[in-house]
Amino acid sequence: MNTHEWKEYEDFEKLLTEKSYSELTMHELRLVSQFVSSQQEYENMRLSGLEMKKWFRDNPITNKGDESLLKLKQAFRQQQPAVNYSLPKVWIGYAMVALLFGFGGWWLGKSEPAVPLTRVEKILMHDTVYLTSKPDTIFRERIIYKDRPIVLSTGNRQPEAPNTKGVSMKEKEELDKLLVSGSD
Amino acid sequence: MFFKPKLARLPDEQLMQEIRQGREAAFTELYARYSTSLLRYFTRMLWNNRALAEDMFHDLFLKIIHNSQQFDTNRKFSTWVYSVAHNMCKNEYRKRQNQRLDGIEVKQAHDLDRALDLLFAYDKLTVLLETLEETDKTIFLLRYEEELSISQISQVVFMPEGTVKSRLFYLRKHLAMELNEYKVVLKEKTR
Repeated sequence: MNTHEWKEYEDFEKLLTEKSYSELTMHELRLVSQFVSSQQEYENMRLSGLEMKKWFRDNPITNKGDESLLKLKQAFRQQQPAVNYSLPKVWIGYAMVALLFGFGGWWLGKSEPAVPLTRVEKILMHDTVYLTSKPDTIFRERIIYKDRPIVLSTGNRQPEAPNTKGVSMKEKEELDKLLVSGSD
Repeated sequence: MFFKPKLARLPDEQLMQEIRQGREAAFTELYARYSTSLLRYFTRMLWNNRALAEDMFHDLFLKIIHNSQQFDTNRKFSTWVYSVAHNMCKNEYRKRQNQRLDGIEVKQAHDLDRALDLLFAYDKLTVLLETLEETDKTIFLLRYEEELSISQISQVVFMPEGTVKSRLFYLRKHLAMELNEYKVVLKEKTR
């Protein structure tokens, strides 16, 4: 068998585990024929392979205890250097940052004036309710009398100014009254 | 960092980086991922000798701890770890020139009756695996039990991919033939 044929060995192995001779396609039969000469040979190889797998399953070898692991862990710890610098360095860094934040917080809190704390008690207050009524508004009419000079005509009457008003009936009545009272 | 990524989601290579930085939880995670498969590999490779396999398994994880700095994170971790495991097994095979199966030398079991006794005493696949040469056994187990890719296996055993494929093919053919023969012999013996 030349090197080229070995390239397909893995496919042949796969076919051995997955398919019986009768299930092979034409292409697969061609491939198989590079490795086996007869159906019998193929089936023998296939069955022995299956038997081998079954044998591996039926004869398991397991690691029973953790004793070996404990010993190995001890050896692992001994192998490590006495002081592992890398890890503490990181933790020291974290601690420094935490301290810095703590100090900063304390300093900021300190600079603020202290506000005394007073206890506030809650008191329930009842408001007094006053009922009010709005007084009515009273409008009164009032007659205002105005004094007015009266000019009595003496005969030589001056021509009346074109814009002078005439005497109303009411005024005339009053004038008459005055004249009557003046004659007494 | 305060917020570390969840270890279960990290790939093996990143876990190795965390191990380098001394993170024990990363080691525990890696152990959880590989302990069963590596112990299984050692047990099957080392003649089902559980005690020996556990020792080798422990040594391998110690190597991971001690040599974590040497691991190239651009390489696939699973390939690297199986390469180390394979080399450890190779050394063990060198130490024991003759493969033994609980004191019985498999290589001496040429005659059919003795082989059959072995087959009945253990089981067919155990015996078949024991008779395989060390590299073949590694290739076989890594492919069919640990389900590594061909390219990964080729890196573990330092062989071209084509060679790995051809070895796998002939191993499967051998397995099929042996199992078939075993069935025939078993039928005759039970008659």
